[in-house]
Amino acid sequence: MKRLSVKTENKTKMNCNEAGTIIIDMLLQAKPGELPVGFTEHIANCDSCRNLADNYHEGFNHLSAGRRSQPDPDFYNKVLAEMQDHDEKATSGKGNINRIIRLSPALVSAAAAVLLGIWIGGSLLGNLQPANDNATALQTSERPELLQAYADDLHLNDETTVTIERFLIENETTETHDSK
Amino acid sequence: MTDLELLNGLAQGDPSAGRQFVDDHQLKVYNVCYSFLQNEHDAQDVAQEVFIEAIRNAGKFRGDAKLSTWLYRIAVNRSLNHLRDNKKRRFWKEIDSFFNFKVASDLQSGSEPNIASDKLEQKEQQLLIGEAIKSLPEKQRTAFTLNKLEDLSYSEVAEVMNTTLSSVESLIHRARLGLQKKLRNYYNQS
Repeated sequence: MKRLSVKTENKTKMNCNEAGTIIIDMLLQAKPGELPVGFTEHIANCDSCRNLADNYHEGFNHLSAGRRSQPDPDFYNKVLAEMQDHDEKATSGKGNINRIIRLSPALVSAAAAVLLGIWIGGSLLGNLQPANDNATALQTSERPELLQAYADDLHLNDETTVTIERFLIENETTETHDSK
Repeated sequence: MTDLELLNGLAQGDPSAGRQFVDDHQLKVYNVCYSFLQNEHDAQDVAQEVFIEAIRNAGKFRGDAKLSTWLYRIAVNRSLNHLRDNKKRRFWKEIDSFFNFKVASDLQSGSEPNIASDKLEQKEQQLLIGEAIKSLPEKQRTAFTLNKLEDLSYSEVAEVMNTTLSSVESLIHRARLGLQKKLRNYYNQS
């Protein structure tokens, strides 16, 4: 850390950046050092730096604002009561239950979110596969009719189809003979 | 009653020793807790826990450190534990408020239009010191807080933190550098 005493060079003008650095150094150093030349003058003429210095110092003092200078006369009794409370909790296991109760809203929320996610995901996947559902539904009662309808569509019983098939089979047999 | 007599009395469950022990040290313990926690209610709770731990473990005190150093040590550890627990609690609270849609209302309440911007900046600058100290690594923060806010000497800080004098010097030096960097960054940005 740069010591303030090192910075005491002969400067008459100081900019805000240099002043800001000095304000922070002054705030954090253990023992207040000599103020650099030009700093006091800069602070006197610059509202922004003066406010910053005031606010930082107030902020630092604020860290000690809640400190006590007078003892609490009832503190010992509070400690005793707290000790008894600890003992009771330890014997009844109330502490664990309290912890679960305290966490329960968050846990319930997280569990609900997971379940909601699963439900939404399931619904989306279900919508992507409508054909499978129809096929499953038709498997039981309407299956023979459905197969017949498919056969009709493919013209499996059509004479033309039969003729073409026979031609292909015969042609294949001749080709194999030729190759032999 | 000397420290040793006090501790013997505590170990034997003597109520008058307990009362004297608490009355003698309550200010010191409370103020250490407050320096770390920056909240009066939390400091009060943790200070009570410190005394409970001290009274229950009075028989284990070996006497190789001063009674006040031992108490400081318990107070620092308890305060740091409380801060760690608070972090976890805040995490759950954030999850909870997220699902309860409290985030939006919190943001709304934080942006009241009638608060002048210069007042906000002033408040921000004041809070910045505390926030910068909070963001330091735990050991640096402990050393800096004990030295700067509790006015303990480097050797006393070393005793409380159970470390060497040179480690404390290094920790405080690094803490100052870290704080300077953070505060300068803010200053340059604004």
